[in-house]
Amino acid sequence: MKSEDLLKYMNEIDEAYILEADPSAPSRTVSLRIVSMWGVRICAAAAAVFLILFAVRSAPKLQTGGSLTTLEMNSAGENAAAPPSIGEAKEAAGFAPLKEEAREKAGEEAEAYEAYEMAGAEAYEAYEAEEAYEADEVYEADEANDTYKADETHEAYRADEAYSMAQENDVQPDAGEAAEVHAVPEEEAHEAAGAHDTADARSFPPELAAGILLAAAAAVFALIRLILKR
Amino acid sequence: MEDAAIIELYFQRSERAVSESDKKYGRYCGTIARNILGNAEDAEECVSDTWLRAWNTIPPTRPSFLKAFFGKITRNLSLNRIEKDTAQKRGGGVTAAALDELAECVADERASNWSADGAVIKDTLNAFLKDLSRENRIVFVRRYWYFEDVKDIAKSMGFSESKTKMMLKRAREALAKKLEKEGIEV
Repeated sequence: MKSEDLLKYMNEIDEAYILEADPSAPSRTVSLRIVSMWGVRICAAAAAVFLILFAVRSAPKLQTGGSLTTLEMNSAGENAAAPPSIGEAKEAAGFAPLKEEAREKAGEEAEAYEAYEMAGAEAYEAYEAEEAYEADEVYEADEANDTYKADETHEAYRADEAYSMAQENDVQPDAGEAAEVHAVPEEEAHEAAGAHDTADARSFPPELAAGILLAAAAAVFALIRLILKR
Repeated sequence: MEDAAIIELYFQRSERAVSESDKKYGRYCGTIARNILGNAEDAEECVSDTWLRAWNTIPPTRPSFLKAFFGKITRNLSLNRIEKDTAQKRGGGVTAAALDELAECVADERASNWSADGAVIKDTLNAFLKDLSRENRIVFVRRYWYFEDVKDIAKSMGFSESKTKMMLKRAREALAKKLEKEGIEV
């Protein structure tokens, strides 16, 4: 068979194929195919750039994030951004100044108590000397002061205990408890305790988001191309 | 005018059928003839001959797809014209190149004693086109039926020229295998 014969027999192919390939007919399919072809190329290239950018930026964090050995884990734990300890939370919530203040007050009251004790002794002596009226007054004052000091001391003790426990365990504080124990407004405590999580949420890398979106767009274009090819 | 109305004009033996055909499909047929003949004047003559051939064929023939019907007539007339024209070697450069490319699908002219039935060849070609992907099929038909230049096909399809050539090469290889499989000597 000659090639001319083959070309002549080509004339007998189905008319559907002839019309399908008609070069004079404006084809929306061809336009869509060209758009999808360039869409795949551009979106895939842009997605690759963003993902590489993300990988480069997050590389140092990944290097310390291994879990093969205890040493590496410890190192990673030290280097990683840890949640705030109860001490940090208390400091952030403004507890520390209050605690210091409470201690100072307790110290002052202790001195006052000593003075009152001495005065009490004198009053007792006075009472003994039948100066009953004055002695009663001094005793009442002593009683009141004693109660106040006990309250202050108890509060300072609770604060110190909680602080020590937090330092030992390095536990995330419960905002409600911290507020109750340290007499800090609960809202502030919640803010301090949740600061870390909020910071994490805000730090979602935009490169990763852009890369994922562009890769999805490239996949859609590729799907269109695949459909048009068939 | 709708194709059915044009066909009806042929059946009524109205001369308006020719003018309406030329108005609607003259450009299409002219493109096919120019691609094959590579000459505007010869192409114009071929298009005129197309209307005459159609006038003689309709009736009794009632074509299903008038456009493809006219296209086939133009293509046939153009190829016959090239065959007869021995002074000009195979007419246009595009046609000569297409013939050379397809030569790899068929047997050596001197060694071949091929005498397959035309219907078998037609069925084989249609089966081959059906197996091709849509993109490959369009490229193949535009090259070997419409005789379009590879550069023009690549441009309109959004491919590079080398990719288009590669697609055609693979299609020709597939056609050669298909012909061989069907017992048509290649």
